[in-house]
Amino acid sequence: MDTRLQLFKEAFIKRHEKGRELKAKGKRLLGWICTYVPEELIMAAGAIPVRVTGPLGDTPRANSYLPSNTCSTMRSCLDAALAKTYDYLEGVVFSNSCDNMGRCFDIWRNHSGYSYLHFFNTPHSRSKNAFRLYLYELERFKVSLEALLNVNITDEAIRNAIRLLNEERELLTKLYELRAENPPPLTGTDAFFVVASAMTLPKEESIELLRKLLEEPPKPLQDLKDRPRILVSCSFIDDEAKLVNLIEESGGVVVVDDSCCGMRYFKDIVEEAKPSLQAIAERYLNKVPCPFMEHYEDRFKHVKDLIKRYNVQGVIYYCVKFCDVHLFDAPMLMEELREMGIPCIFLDWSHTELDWSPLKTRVEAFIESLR
Amino acid sequence: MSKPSRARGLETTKGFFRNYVRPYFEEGHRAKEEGKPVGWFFSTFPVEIAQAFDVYPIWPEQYACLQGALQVSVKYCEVAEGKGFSKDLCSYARNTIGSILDPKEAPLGGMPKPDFIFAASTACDTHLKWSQVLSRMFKVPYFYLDVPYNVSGADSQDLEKEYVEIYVAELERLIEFLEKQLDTRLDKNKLRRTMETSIKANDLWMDIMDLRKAIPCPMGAEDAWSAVFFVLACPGSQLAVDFYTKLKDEVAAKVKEGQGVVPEEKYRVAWDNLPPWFNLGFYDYLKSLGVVVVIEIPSITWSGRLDASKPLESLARRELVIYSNSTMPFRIRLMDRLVAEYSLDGFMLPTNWGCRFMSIGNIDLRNMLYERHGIPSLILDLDATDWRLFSEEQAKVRIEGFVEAMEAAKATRPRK
Repeated sequence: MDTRLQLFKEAFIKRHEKGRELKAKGKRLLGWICTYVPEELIMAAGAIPVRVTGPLGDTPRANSYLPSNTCSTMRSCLDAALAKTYDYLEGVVFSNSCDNMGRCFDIWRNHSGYSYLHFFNTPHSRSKNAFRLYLYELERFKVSLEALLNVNITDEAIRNAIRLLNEERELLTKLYELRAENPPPLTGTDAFFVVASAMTLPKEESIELLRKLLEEPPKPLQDLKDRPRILVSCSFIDDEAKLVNLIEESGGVVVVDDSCCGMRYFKDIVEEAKPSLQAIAERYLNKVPCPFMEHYEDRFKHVKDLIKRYNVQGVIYYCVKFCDVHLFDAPMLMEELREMGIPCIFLDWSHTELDWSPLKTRVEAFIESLR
Repeated sequence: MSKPSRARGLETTKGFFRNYVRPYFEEGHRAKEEGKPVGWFFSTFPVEIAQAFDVYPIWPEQYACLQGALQVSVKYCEVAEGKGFSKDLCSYARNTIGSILDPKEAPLGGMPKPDFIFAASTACDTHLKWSQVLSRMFKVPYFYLDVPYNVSGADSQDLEKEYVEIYVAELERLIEFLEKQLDTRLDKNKLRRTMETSIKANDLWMDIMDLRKAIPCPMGAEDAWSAVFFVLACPGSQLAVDFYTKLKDEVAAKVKEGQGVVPEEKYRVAWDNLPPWFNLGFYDYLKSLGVVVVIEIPSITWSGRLDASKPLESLARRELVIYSNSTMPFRIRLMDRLVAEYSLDGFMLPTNWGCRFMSIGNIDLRNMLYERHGIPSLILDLDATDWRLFSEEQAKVRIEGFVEAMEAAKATRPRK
């Protein structure tokens, strides 16, 4: 592995220590859970946005408050909050993205101990009223951040944040493009940690790491040549990229993803020529949608485009158990993919499982069938 | 599984399936044959607007309950599961999708085929996704009323102005959609008349719910679960007004005579969420212990009073605070009110396996109800139509414990 790629993984693994260091130096950090929360405003308010994710494994603390039919992503995020893993955050921002998240907001308010929890009222469509709501929510969020951090958020600060985030998005896009090659210069596991660190590091640092990596792009990895090329379509990827790693240990290579922990995080930029808040609203509502949005066909088209662009040979549709929106899309998307002649497999799994061997068996069989 | 019992106790709801449900669907099939537009609506969608356009409303959730009550729901859930719809999804969605995929023996000849499908964000993620699946199956357009979540958990009159205005703007977008699809203009007089009818139906229904505050309670859950149909499926129709007028008279007479659901009412409980449709005889079991379900949260929040002088705004204010669209502070105030007004001894908080919003938060609500009011609650593992996820024997054991807890709490609580 290119040692520069190792840096991203290390940064992600040590993100909590880093967060505490930054806090000790007087920096203010704010958590966010869903990619529909505009990081631009958090940055414009002078704070560092950090994505909240949950570790793998059992969630004894969260189990006291959540029924067994709650998605394991929300369960493990709550567990991490209750374990004080995120004690360096000023607060956490939620989005009206799905019922799991919406209802868990109540539980966080009752038990997480954070005095600042904001709920961004994300619309689920692109009608003119949805834009009106998103703009209103940007204003509401801005006022709320100003009060929390005792700052005045200027348009200039928002524009700077937009530029910085766009730069990161463009660098991540460039890196992903390299993966279209056969063989790709990085594994899916490597790529996961690059995006994961981008979602959790101060932007300047993640951009610096990305720039250094792309100055002299990593070389194609010959032992990945002609391995079955896999696209993973999912919501959350687990914190350790265990799923992606499992696919790659089984002889496949993940060349691209349709995940909010991957491409759905950084694809699509904010147009810098437009009025800033309007441009932010347009980016977030028009981006490749999560299936909670009305425009599921856009996501299907996006997945099909990726299949062509990245010469994908098989799709793994990986669903965190009890994620209704991804579960409903599964039969529809898989039917379309099969019509295209693309082999695919549906896996639903919980990040709280301790024994991953049943999943491994299914992945191995699928990869084998593609050889 | 035990046989479903005809547990209803009121004359007006007797033969509800034969007298009301079957004719309603037959009328829908006739409308379809005659070329009239048929719309499929999901709960919390403001049906009245489409009724003003003469769209015949069909309510898939009711059909799902029906398949549960007829004990065919699991068969159809399995059909959907065979097509890749996960067992963890809402069983209403699974059983309706299943009987559309395999329509040969579908009850009532299936639902009349839709021309449009309507869902609103005020209920759940499932409604959006389910309507997308149906819209693909029938190749018909769907309309999604996308409105804000009641983040602060405000009461109706305290909602953010912008949220109310956005809701009204979405209603205007709905009117544009219907005008375009049906190639007609909205008849404003007709909308006014439809709203007036709906207001009457809703008022009558809420009056009936108020009558249930009487001790002993004159009407149990088993009657309410049937009777709520009109106010949800076709609130803007005379049918609803006529039915509720008759029902209100009967319930009021019972109150006057001091006649309750059971000879000796020992425990008054409220029911959150949905019932086990496949086993409404379950309420007989509760009654045998002297437990009467005096109010259900869906009965009073998925409908409600409207203001004739501001019909659209009052629709917005009613729908935005629906408990599925509000944060917990709203639900807590609602429960506080129910405990006091309905003289509750306990709360039943059934979960619903395929439903996040009906499951997450129940533990907090249970604790809160005890802390604030000293009344016990029972979180019961349930699914509304998939009996594979329900163990009657286990439920009975838990209910015995719940009754004991209510008895103990009664002894220590000062009676109002």
